[in-house]
Order: sequence, then C-alpha cells, then structure tokens
Amino acid sequence: MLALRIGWRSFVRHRRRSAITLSAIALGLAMMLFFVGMGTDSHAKMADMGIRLGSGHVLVEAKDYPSEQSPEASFTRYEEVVRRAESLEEARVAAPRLSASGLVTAGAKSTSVFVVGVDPTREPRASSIAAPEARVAGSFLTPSANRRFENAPGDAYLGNSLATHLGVEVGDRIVITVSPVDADNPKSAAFQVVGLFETGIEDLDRSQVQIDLTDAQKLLNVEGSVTQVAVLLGDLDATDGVTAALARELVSRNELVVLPWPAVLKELHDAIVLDDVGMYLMMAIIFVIVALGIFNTVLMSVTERTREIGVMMAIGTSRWRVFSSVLAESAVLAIASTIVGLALGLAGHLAMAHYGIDVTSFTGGQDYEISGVVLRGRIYSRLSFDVVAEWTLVVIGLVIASAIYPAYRAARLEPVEAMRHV
Amino acid sequence: MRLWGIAKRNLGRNRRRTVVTVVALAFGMSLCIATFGLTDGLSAQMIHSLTRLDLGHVQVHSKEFVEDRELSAKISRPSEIVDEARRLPHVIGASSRIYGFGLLSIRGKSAGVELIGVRPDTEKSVTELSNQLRAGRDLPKAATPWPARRALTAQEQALDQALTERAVRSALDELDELDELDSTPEIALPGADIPPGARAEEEHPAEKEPAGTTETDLNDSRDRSAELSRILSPRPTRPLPVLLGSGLADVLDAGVGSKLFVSAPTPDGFTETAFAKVVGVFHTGTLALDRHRVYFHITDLAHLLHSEGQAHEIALLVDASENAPGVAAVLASQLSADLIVRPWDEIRPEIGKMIELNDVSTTIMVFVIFFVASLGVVNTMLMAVFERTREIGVLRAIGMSRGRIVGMILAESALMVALATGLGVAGGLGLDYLMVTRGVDLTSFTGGLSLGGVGIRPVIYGAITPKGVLIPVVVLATICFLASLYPAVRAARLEPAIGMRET
Repeated sequence: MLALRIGWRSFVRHRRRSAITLSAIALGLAMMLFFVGMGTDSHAKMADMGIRLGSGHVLVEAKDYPSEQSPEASFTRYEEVVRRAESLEEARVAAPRLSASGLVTAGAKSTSVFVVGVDPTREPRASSIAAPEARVAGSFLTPSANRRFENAPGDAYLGNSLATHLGVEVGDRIVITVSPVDADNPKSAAFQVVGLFETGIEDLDRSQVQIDLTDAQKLLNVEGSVTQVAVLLGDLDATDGVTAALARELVSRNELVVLPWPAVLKELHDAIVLDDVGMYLMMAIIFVIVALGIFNTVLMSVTERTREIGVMMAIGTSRWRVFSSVLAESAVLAIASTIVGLALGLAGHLAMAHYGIDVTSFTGGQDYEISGVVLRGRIYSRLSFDVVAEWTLVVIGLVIASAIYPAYRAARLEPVEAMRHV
Repeated sequence: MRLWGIAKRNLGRNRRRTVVTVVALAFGMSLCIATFGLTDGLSAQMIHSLTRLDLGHVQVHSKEFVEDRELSAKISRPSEIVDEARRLPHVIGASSRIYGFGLLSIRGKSAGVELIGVRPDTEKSVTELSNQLRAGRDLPKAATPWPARRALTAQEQALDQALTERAVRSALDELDELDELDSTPEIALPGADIPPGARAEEEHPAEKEPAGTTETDLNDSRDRSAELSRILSPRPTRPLPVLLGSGLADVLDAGVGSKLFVSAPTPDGFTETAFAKVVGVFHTGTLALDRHRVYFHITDLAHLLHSEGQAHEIALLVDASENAPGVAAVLASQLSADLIVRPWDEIRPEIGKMIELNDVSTTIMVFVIFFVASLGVVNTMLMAVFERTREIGVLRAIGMSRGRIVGMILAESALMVALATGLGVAGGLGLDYLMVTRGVDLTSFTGGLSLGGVGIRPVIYGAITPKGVLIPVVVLATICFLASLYPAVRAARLEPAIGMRET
C-alpha cells in the first residue's frame, strides 16, 4: 500500500509532465479502439458482400468442383443437402445452383458470360444479385414450372452493363450457348430477358446471367444435378460451427465437400487479414513510441528523486520496496491513462456506432474494389466487451513494462552515493 | 552562432533522456519512410501490372468501341496510325489489337472467353506478356496459312440457290407443323450443332433438311453446303496457335499442346468455328486476364472474325507513365476526330484514384504517428526547461532577451529533431533498400490479391521516391516545431527574480 501511495505522490508531483504522458497513452488506446471498431465493421461488411455476391457463408460442392469449376463436377440428390442445411438452426436459406460459362448472343452482338441456374424461390434470399434491392428493371425469374408452354423461352435475369452491352432490354430475346456435359458440340437456347440487376461490381454486372435451375439443367444435359448449394446464415460468426455440422451430416456422401467462405473467397479473406496486419503494425509503431515516452518520463522521475530514494534506503526501505514503488507510479499512470483512454475511445465508439462514416466520401464517390467486393455506404464502429478488455490490459501491461528498467535502476542505487546526488 | 552551441551543450547534459527521445523520433521516422516505400512500391506495381501487362500507356479506339464496345467499330488502316505513333517523341512502341468473344471447349469442358489478337513482334514493344509465360513459348511471328476466299462460279451459285430454296421450303413446312402444336420451338443458334471444322449452315442458316428427306439425300446436301461454304470461307491449314491464361488452363484442364475448339460470333452476324492449339500458358495475377483471355495472332483472329486488316485498338508504350497524357494529346491532334486517344489513367480512372487514396491514408498515418511522438518532445523540452528554471532566470537577469530564450529552446528541439531525422532517414532508406532488393514476401499469407481488379503479386517490392522521404521529414519538423513552442514560450515568460529563486 505504501508503494502505491509513494507512486501516487510522485505521479502528481509533476502534474504537467504526467498529464502529457497520460494523454499520449490515452490517445494510443482511444485510437486502437477506434481502428478496431471501424475495422471490425468494414471487414464484416466486406465479408458479407462477398458472401452475398455468390459464395454464401458455407458452400457444399462436389469434391472436384473447386479444381474443375465446370458443370462436369456436379452432384445429384441436392434436395437432400438443401433440406439438411435448412434444418440447421443458424441457417436462413440454402440455395442450389448450377453454373457454367457460356456465350450470350443478341442480334449481331455477343459476349462471354457466366450462366448460373438458380432456384427462383430461394435465390432472392440467398444472394444480393437476386435480391429486390439490386433490381433496376423488370422482375426476377419465374419458376419454369409456372410457364404456360413447355417450349417457351425461359426467363433470364442479367446484369445491367451486360444488357447495355448487348443492347437488350426487359422483354427482349437472347440466345445462350454453352457446352453441355458429355457432348462435343455447343448447345443453344433462347431466353427472354425478364429483369436486370446492378451490384456495382462491374465484373458481375457485365458477365452474369441467371436462369431457372431447371432450364440450366436441361441446357447443360445434367438433369437433377447442381454444382453447388450455398448456405446463408444469420450470423457470420456461426460459419465454422455450421461448416462442421454440415460436414458431419453429409459424411455419408463422400463425393461432396463443405467449404466455409474464407476457403472460397480466398482473395477477400487475405485482403481482410492483410488490412488487419497493416492496422496492427501501425498501432505497434505508435505503442513503441508511447512506450519510449513512458520510459523517459519514469526514468526522469527516478533521476530527480535519486536523493530522496537514497534517504529512503538509508532509513531501511528494502530494494524491493523501492522497485515496487516505481512500478506503482507507472501503475497509477497506467490506470489513470486507461480511464481517460477508455472514456475517449468509448465516446468515439458511441459516436461512430451511431453516426458512422460514409466510406465513399474518402474515395470521392468512386467505388473502391478490394478482391472482388466494393466497400460502400456507412461504416459503424463495432466493439465487443472482450476486445475492449483485451486492449485495456495490453496497454496497462505495456505501461508497467516500460517502467521496469527505471525501477530496476532505482532499486540498484547505493544509499550513500544517492544521498550525495544533487 | 552561440545559440546552437548552448543548445548542443544542453542536450548533452541529460544524455540518456535525449537519446531516448531521439530514438523514439528516429524509429517513427524510419517506419514512416518504410511505409511510404511499401505503398509507393504497391502503386508502382499496380501501374506496372495495368500498363505493361494489358493496357499499355496510351490507347487509340474508335468512338463506338469506347462507348459500347461495339465489335464492328473498327479502326481502319491501323498500320498507318501505328507508324505515326511510333514517330512521336517519348513513344517506345505501338501495336494494334483486335477483339472478339468466343466459347472454348475441350473434352466436354468449356469456357466463355475474350479473344484478343495481337501482333507478336510489335506487341513485345508494348506489353511484357511474353515474360509472363509459365509454360510453352510465345505466339509464332508468322500468321497461320489460310487459303484465300474466292467468289462462287455461276454453276456453284445455281447449286447454292437450289439448296437454299429447298431449305427455306422445309423450314416453312416445319413452322406449319409447329403452328398446329401451338407452341414456340426452342430457337437454335445458327450453326450451333455443326460438327467442328465444318461450317455449312452459317452462310445459309435455313439449310436444314426436314425429317422427311431420305438419309442419303440429307447427307448429300449437307456435304454440298459444306463444300460451298469452304469456298466462301476456307479453313486454316492447321490449328491456330493461342496463348491461354493460367486460370483458364486450369478450368479447361488444358496445357501446352492441347487442342481447343473455338466458336466465335463474328461482327457480321455469323458464328465461326476453328481448332486452336495451345502454345503457351501465361500467368499475370490479374484474374480478368488469367481467367478470361485467349491470345491469338492478330491475322489469325481477324481471319476468323471476317475482319482482315482491321483492328479495334492500338496500344502505345511511352518511356514513363507520367508522359502518357502528353503523348495522348499530341496523337489525338494528329488523328481524325472519330478516334479516341486516352492515357491509362483515363481508361481506368479508379486505379489512379486508388493510388491517390493510398497516398492520403499513408500521409494521415504519418501525421498520427508523429503527433504521438511529438508529445514525447514536449515532455522532454518541458523537463529541460523546468530543470533549468534557475539558469534561465540568471540568463534573463544578465540581459538575455525573451526572443533569444525562445530561440535557445527552439534550437535545442531543432537539433534533437535534426539528429532524429538523420538517423530516421538512414534507417528508413535502409529498410527501403531491403524492400527494393528483396521485396516483402507475403506468400505465407496469401497467394495473391487484387485491388481494383488489378492483380497484386504476393511479393511486394518497395520503391524509393523523393515524396516518400520528404513527407515524413517535413511533417516531423513542423509538428515538433509547434510542439516546442509551448515550452519555449514558458521559459521566456519566466520573471528573472522568480526564476533565480527556484532551486
């Protein structure tokens, strides 16, 4: 207790100096909380966007689909996979898809596209491409079962840039050509454009065509098969749990693999990790500079009190006590500055959680593509108690650690020499 | 100047404190310079990937091609423009290109791709694609021999007429049948079900035999149609050599030597087919190129797309990316108004924007780091002032002006900052040098990223730029000058009598 009292006294003795050191530490902690809070939300938004643009949180594919990426690697009895996935509590929807690359032609214009056969009832809940928010014209696909004539052209839902490029509008006809499975020659079929979407990702808006799953199966000669089932969850953090649960449920079907989104959206996941690494590196630089400042302050305070410490030791204060009294000073500094830092950081967090920052204001309205997604809209700070507690402890530890050397120097003083110090 | 002497002595008085403060500043400086080195390296890599692997620095297109990528909007007499461009100052190379779309298939696998035709000899002077080959070799310099088309003789024309009439008749019959069924048939793309190599029905889309004709009759007219169409549009004598991207090669499970079937719609409304042979596989790290592009010899692709002697694009390489806008402006003034000449940052404005944004965020980081570091300077200087309250009192008493006291304290901090800057710049350039020569290897983190659709290699090389050193130096000097004003003013405010009384 005595150590703490001495610590407190030396802390307040130089109010101004302590205040400056304190503000450096507090600022460091507040910045850390700010960056972590904003980073968490922007990364979650990036992941979410990637997930909703195609992969889903968890993806079930045929074992060789990841390497082949062609409808050859499709699997049957997908209804069972959909049923099992949707029976999981965390799952919102499981969307079966059949994808292939192909060629779309309208009049004299044509371009290469990615054709995705989807379940019209499930897809709008599973992907932001099919969701009403992305639709700029027309409507989504109607299930082929509701079609009046069996041979009538199927519905096609395409990206806005693709439509502009082909010069087609809602109601126009297009011809989709693909290479069917187990056939040597390309196969074509006519489709009618029923709706257009715009995601802001030029690559998708320019190259994706969605058609009814049944039409796609017919076109590709793989009736009853899909290339993937994308599972959408209510919570990003449930990804690993659901991946494991689904893998267990589907263990009997060893021709399938269950992949969590980081394995599918590898580039995006890498970009997120790299962004985090960059942020931590910058904070590490700041904290090293702060630590050197603390080291300097505490060392000064010890040097100034050389005489005082000499007297304390001469009247019988043990070296350990001297050591702990210097550490106590830094502990007081640590606690005081984390209180200020937390107040500052949490105030910033609350403000940012409420108002947020519009990311496009930094880019001058331009979309900033990072590994296949675009960061858009407002970012709100997100912090959990664990994260705040963790960083507070890190900062307290850092402050106390910076004082170890000065405390050691104080404890090693020889009373007689120290007392002679001016 | 005596002031600097006093400042130097004062700094030496508490050596450990000075050293720790200087180390903190120098550490911050080194890492800021290194961060700039890395960001600039990343920007340079993005520009390089963009200009040296795909775009070139300046491109010429026809207006319609830029506006809606209309494949029929070609540049006439491209070779004259290429020659003209090569004569301009700063221009290193120029090459023409032609584009198309097609479906590639091999053993049941297929992919929709962008077809690009380049002139292998001149393309080398613009892009470095031939250095990115992972397997195989570059496209051959000479185009694939292709028999010339010729017009039909009167006899052949009569045969063509007869075949067409028969086909139209049978098509009408078929339609009548369908009307009875009250349903629309699945529309087949002309030529979609033609065996590879043959191209019979394209010129005569309706030439399908009704089911009622006998087998021999049907085969006979098919063969005759094929014969006629080969006169009008002959096949190349051997498969066309092509380069594939690594991603596309993986998807198609193809490699050097694989024979692919290409089917491509032509700008004049037909679907052409041909065999192609993979001679090389390239890897650029940019998905759009690696996954979706096939390179042909420009003459081969122009033949296939019925666009002989024409081009969609002329790409120029200039000596430095900064000179691109100037060259574009000069070239635009020499060419006709229906051609659009643009430098790379106008073709892909988001990349320039992104590079700017990276610079801004690094500068913000430098400010934040030095702001925190400057708090250490304030503390050190304040301590130095308070320790010397008595001394400063004496100096004031013997007649030193307030201004000189401020100057003395500022000189002390300036000396400290100068020392830190020297050490920091040396350290920063050392780190830069390591990054320039060895690169930062992120392969354990990632196999490659993409920013703005441009692939970034997992090994990032730093770049040393004047700006990357100047910004940290100027920011540190400014912030520290402002930070030492307060201690300096406090020292100058001391009343001599009070100051001297202090112990």
